[in-house]
Order: sequence, then structure tokens, then C-alpha cells
Amino acid sequence: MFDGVAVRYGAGPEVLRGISFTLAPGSFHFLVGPSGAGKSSLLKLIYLGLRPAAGRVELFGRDVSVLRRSDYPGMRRRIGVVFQDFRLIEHLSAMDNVALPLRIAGVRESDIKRHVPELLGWVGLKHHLDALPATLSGGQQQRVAIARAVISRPSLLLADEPTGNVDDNIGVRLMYLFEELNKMGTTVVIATHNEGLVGRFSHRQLRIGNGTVRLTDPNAPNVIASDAAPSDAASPEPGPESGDQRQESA
Amino acid sequence: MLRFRTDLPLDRDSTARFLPWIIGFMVYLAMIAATVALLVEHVTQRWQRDLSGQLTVELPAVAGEDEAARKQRVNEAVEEIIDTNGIIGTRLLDQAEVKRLLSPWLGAQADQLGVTLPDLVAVSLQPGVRPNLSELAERLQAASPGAAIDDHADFNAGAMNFLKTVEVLAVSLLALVLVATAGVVAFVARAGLSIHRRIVEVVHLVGAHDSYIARQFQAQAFRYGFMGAFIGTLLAAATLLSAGVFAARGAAPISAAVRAFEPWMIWPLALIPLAAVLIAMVTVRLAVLQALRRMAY
Repeated sequence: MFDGVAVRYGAGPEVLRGISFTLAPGSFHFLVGPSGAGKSSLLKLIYLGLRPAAGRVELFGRDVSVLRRSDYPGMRRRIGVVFQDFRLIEHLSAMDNVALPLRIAGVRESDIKRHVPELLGWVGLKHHLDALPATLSGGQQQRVAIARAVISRPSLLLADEPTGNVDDNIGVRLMYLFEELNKMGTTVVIATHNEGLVGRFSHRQLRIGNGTVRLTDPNAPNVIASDAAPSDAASPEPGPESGDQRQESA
Repeated sequence: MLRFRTDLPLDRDSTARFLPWIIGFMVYLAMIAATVALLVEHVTQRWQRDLSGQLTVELPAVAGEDEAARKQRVNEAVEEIIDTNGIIGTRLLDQAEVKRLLSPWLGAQADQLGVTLPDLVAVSLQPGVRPNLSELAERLQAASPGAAIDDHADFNAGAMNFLKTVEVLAVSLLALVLVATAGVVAFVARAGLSIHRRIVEVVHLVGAHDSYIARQFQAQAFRYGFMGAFIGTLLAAATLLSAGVFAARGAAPISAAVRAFEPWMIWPLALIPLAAVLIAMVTVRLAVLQALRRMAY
């Protein structure tokens, strides 16, 4: 839940201002806007990579401004992030990159060796388990990054331009992966400037521009929330995602 | 050897590559300093024990005294000494021995100088019992005028001060080396954290606690510390063995020190490489945790 949130880097001007919206548990949103509009900054706020200059951010029912440093890892383990630049660890194999969140969470090696190859196979990389990121194409690296983000079945999945480096077929296939996760209860936010991709799916859209965010719903085109709308404007989210079994709001 | 799986490629840091050698050098210096401190302490104690158990009584010759009178005066003085509580033995030094003791001051031909040499009595004291020397001095004056008691206090104090100074210097050097080791290790850890800032950020963002990252640096510190400790111990052992060989060949200043070396001293020395590894690990952990707390994410 965002309430009047603003973002500023250093002493510069506000990149985002007056941002208010709520992501219902199990919802699926596109975060749409041109490059440089602030999509990545908004995602950073959500994955606790940035502190707001003003306003209030609530994550899984907790006000992030009062979180202690030791609370961050627990919160982040419930968030999967696909970074725009992948951020794979160069000296680790695809297998080890994907296994990283599990190892950090203390999952047994036997479970890791069972689940990680399975997921990498699902994203079409079963023959690249031991490959280092530098030896993979951009699209393959992106799929490794996606696998890393979803391996621990996060409550919230954030993806920054996740289909930017893959062809349309794989892009759509990855979107289906995100939808599958969403059906299992994961709240999904996909940041993209690819309007064509957004148009192929009927999910709600958080449109970002001029430092503000407004919500549009393709299923109910008359319901449009302005950037200054109350925080519940984007919530609750009915529809196919309502099968969420998680109780917290993100 | 000693490989751990790590998410951070710490082994590739050029700053860290020299760490085993730096730690090795520090361990070497620390072991040599500790050896010196142990030897000096040991020698000091032994010396103190020996000197505090003895004193010397000087009985000056009396002008115009014949040999029979001299012997009687000396015997009376020795009896006065033996009758004193806390004295368990006396030994009258013969004139040849007195000449030898005085030769550094009077030269080898002391008897040709026409100087009448005093009689010297080496006195053994009962351990833990201090005789009443002023009372003994009074009785000796009656038996042998001009008699003087030398309990070696001045010499003892000067020598002990010197040895204590050497020991304090050695211990200070040891402490300095350990502090310097901690400083170097902390610097390398911070540099590593800075080099791998991006990876650290990713590891944080996928849910790692600071302690998870610190453990990776600790594992590296253990490995490099162990290698350094091994190198340093090897070099120190080689140096001490060489000193032993020189001592066996009669190199005077060394042989005295080496003779003071006792097998039990190996145990405190063996603690130094272990301490170096421990210091490296603890320092790295503290330095990394402190640096991570300053990071924004």
C-alpha cells in the first residue's frame, strides 16, 4: 500500500510524487510508462531498495518506515525481483544463481538439486545448468534471472522489463509463467514499456508519467483512479486472481 | 585446500591475494617477539632466584697482619656468619679464585701490584628467610674490622630493570603486530566489500542477513589466516632452529638465550598462529558487519 509517496535521489527534484495505490493480494498489475518515467524507482520502493522521501509504504501489512534492518531479509524473501539488468552473479553458474535465494533461506541441498534443474528446464535452460552468465545470451540470462526470482515462490513478484531481451514467443511464454504463479497466489507487478505485450493481457495497469501514477482497468474502462485518488482506488482486485490463499496485502 | 562455496568471488581480489603472506610475516614477527619475551622472563626469574639466594661478605686485609692472625680473623668472621638465622652455608673463596674475580679490574697480574687482596666468603641463604644483615654487619665489624656485606641488590636491580625493559619491548611488539594484523585484515575486508558491492546488493535483495555475507568473508579470513599462520610458524621454527644451530657452535649471545629455552615454551608459542587466525576472523566479521550497516539497502 502506497500513500502519498514521493521519491527523490539526493538533493534532486522529486522523481515520483503523491503516489497512492494498493496492490491487493493475488493481483496482477502491469506498471506501464515510457523509459525514465520512474518504473524502476517505484519497484525499488516495493522491494525495499529505496526509502521514500515522503509518504507511507506498507508491505505485507507492515509500515516499512518502522522496520528494523534485521526485518528486511524476512520481508525480501517474500519478494521475487527480476531486475532489468538481470544482476546475475557472474562467477556462479545458472544453477547456483537460481539456487541463491534457497541457499540463503537455508533450504537443504537435496531439495535445491531437485527443484532448481526442474525450474531451469521449465524456462528452457535444462542444458545450461552449469553455464556461467557470460556464456549465455541476453534472453537466456533473463530467464535465469526470472527463475531466480520465482524459485522460492514469493508472495510478491516484481519484474522490471522481463521480456525486453527475448523474442515474442518466449516473452509470451514467460508471461504465462507469471500468470501461473499469480494463479497460485503470488501478487505480480510487471514493469514494461511494451504496450503491445500489455494489450495482449487483460490485467490492471498502473500508468506512470510526469512523476505520478494512475490506475486503469481494461475490464472496466470507466473506472479510472487518478494519481491523487485514495489509496484503495486500486483495491480490492476481483477476477481470476481472487483465488489467493495469502491474507496479507502487499 | 580449505575451499568453501561462496557467493562472493573473494578469491579474485588482488588486494586479498597478499593477505596470507602479510599474515605469515606478522605471525613470524609475533612468534619471535613472544620467544624473546618468554626467554627474558624465564632468565629473569632464574637469575632473581639465584641471586636472591646468595650474598658475599668481603673481609679486607688488615695492615701488618701475619698469616696466622689473618686465618683466625677470617675463621671468627665465618663463624659469626654461620651463627646467623637464615644462613645455611658459607664457602671461603681461595686467593686464586679471588684473583680471577678481580682480574677484570686489576688485570691478570694482580699479585704483582703489591695490593693485598681481601678474603671473600660466598654465603648461601635459606629460601624465603631474610637474615638480619645489619645485625650481622655489626658482629662482623667486631670480628673483622671493615667487613662489608654485598647482597647484590644494586646489580640485581639494574640487571632486572634492563631485562624487564627488554621483555616489555618484546611484549609491546607482539601486541603491535597483532593489532597491525587486525588492521590489515579489516582493510582488505572493507576493500572486498567495496569491490563486490553490486553482488552484495543482490545477495541482500534476495533476502540475506548481514551475518550471511559476513560469514563468507569470515570463511575467506579463516582460509587466508590459516595459510598465513602456517607460513609464519614455518619461518619462525626455521629461525629458532637456526639459532639453536648457531648456539651449538658457540655463538655466545645466542647460546645463553637458547640454553634458556625449555620445551614448555612451545605451547604458548603455538597459541600465536591460532590467535592470528581467530583475530583475522573476528576482525573481518566486525569490519564487514559495520560496513554493511552503513549501506543503504
